[in-house]
Amino acid sequence: MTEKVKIKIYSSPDCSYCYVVKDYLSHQGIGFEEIDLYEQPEKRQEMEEISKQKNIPVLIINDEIIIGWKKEKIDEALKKYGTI
Amino acid sequence: MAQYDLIILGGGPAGITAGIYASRKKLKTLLITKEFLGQVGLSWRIENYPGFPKINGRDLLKLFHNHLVQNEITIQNYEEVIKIEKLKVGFKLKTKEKEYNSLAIIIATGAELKRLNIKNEERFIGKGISYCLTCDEKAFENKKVAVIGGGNTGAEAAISLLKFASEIYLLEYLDHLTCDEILKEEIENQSRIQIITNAEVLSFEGDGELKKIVYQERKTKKIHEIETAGCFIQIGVMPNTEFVKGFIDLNEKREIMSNLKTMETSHKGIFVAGDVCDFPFKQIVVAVGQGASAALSAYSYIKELNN
Ligand SMILES: Cc1cc2nc3c(=O)[nH]c(=O)nc-3n(C[C@H](O)[C@H](O)[C@H](O)COP(=O)(O)OP(=O)(O)OC[C@H]3O[C@@H](n4cnc5c(N)ncnc54)[C@H](O)[C@@H]3O)c2cc1C
Repeated sequence: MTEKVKIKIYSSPDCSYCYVVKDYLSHQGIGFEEIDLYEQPEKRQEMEEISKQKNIPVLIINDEIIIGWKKEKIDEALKKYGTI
Repeated sequence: MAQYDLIILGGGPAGITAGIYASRKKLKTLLITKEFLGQVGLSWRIENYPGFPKINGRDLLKLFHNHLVQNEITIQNYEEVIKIEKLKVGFKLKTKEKEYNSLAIIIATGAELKRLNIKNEERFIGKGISYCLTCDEKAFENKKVAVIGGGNTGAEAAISLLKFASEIYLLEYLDHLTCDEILKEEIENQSRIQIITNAEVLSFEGDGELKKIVYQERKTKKIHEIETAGCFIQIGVMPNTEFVKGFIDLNEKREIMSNLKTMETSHKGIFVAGDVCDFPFKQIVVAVGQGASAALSAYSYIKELNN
C-alpha cells in the first residue's frame, strides 16, 4: 500500500512553513519530491492550477491537496494511504 | 508515565533558552513543542539581536536549536499541549497524543499572527491574501501589493517587498506608523512605498482573485479603494493561551499574568516566558532573557520542593 503513495511539495528556499512541512515528513521517515519554485519558476502555474490558489507550501499526497502547515490534515492524509 | 522535574512548553527563543538553562542545572527536563518555528522562524530580517547585525529568523532559530540539542534534554517535537492539570505534587500535562508528569512547568508558547476578521478575508487567502511574507512574496513579482499594519513587522514587510513588487501600499490604522524610527526613515525614502495612515480596512474585493482593498479614512470618513493583486496582513499577534484558560490568570489581552521578578504565574510551580506573558515588549532578546529567568526560578522552586 505504502509504495503507491506519491508525495510532492511545492516550496521555496525562503518559505518558513515549507521547512516545517518538509522536516515533519522527514521526521516521519517519509520521502517526497520537492519542487522549488525559485529553481523552477515555470512550475508556479502548475501549482496554482492544481491548488486553485497562490500560497505555498502546497503538499500533494496522492490526490489530497494541503495548503500551508497543517499537521492534522497531513496526518489524516498519510493515515488514509497507510503511510503512518 | 514519564516523570520529569520540569516540562517546557514551546520551541521558540524563550522555550529553547529555558531548556538550555534547565539542562545545565541538571533538571530532568522535557521540552514539548508544536514545531520549532514560532514567530522567530517567520522573521525575515532581524537586526536587533546582539551579535548578529543581520540574520533571518530561521537561521537564528537553527543556531538556537543546535545549541539546545547539545544539552541533556528530552525533546518532543510536533506535539501540541492541550491541557494542564494540578496533581497533589506537581502537574499532569496532556498533549493530543500523550500525557506527562512534572514538578514544574514553564509556558513559552508565544503567539500566533492575528487576522483582521473582516469581509472576504477568508475568501481571498491564497488568492492574494497571505500572512507569511517569506512564503509568498515572490508570487507578486511586478505587481502592486499592500501591507496592512505599520508596526515593525509591517514596515519590514513593505521594505522586503521592494525586491519583487512594483508598488507597495502600507496601510496603518493609527495616524502614524508605530515601527522603529530607523525603519520609518527607510520607508519614507522609498518612492515605491506609499504610506496610508488613518486607514480602517473594511473589506477585500475581487472575483476569483483579490483586486481591491476597501478602507475608510478615519478622520474624513471617506471610503477609498486601492487596486492591488496582493495583501500581507501584519497586524500583530495573539498569545497562545487557549489551553490554560480558566486555569491560570490571564489579562484582558489573554496574556499570562506574571511576577516579572520570578516569572511565576498565578499557579505556584508554573512559570512563563516570552511573548505569551504580560510583559509589554515582545522581542527575541526579551524572550531569551525571560526564558533564562523562568528556568532559574523553576530550579529554585524544584530544589525547595525536594528538600
Ligand atoms: C514577522 C515577525 C518579525 C519579527 N521581527 C523581530 C525582530 O526583528 N526582532 C525581534 O527581537 N523580534 C521580532 N519579532 C518578535 C519575535 O519573533 C518574538 O518576540 C519571539 O519569537 C518570541 O519568542 P517566544 O519563544 O516567546 O515565542 P514564539 O517565537 O512565538 O515561539 C512559541 C513556540 O511555542 C510553540 N507552541 C505554541 N503553542 C503550543 C502548544 N499548545 N503546545 C506546544 N507548543 C506550542 C510554537 O510552535 C513555537 O515553537 C518578530 C515577529 C514576527 C511575527
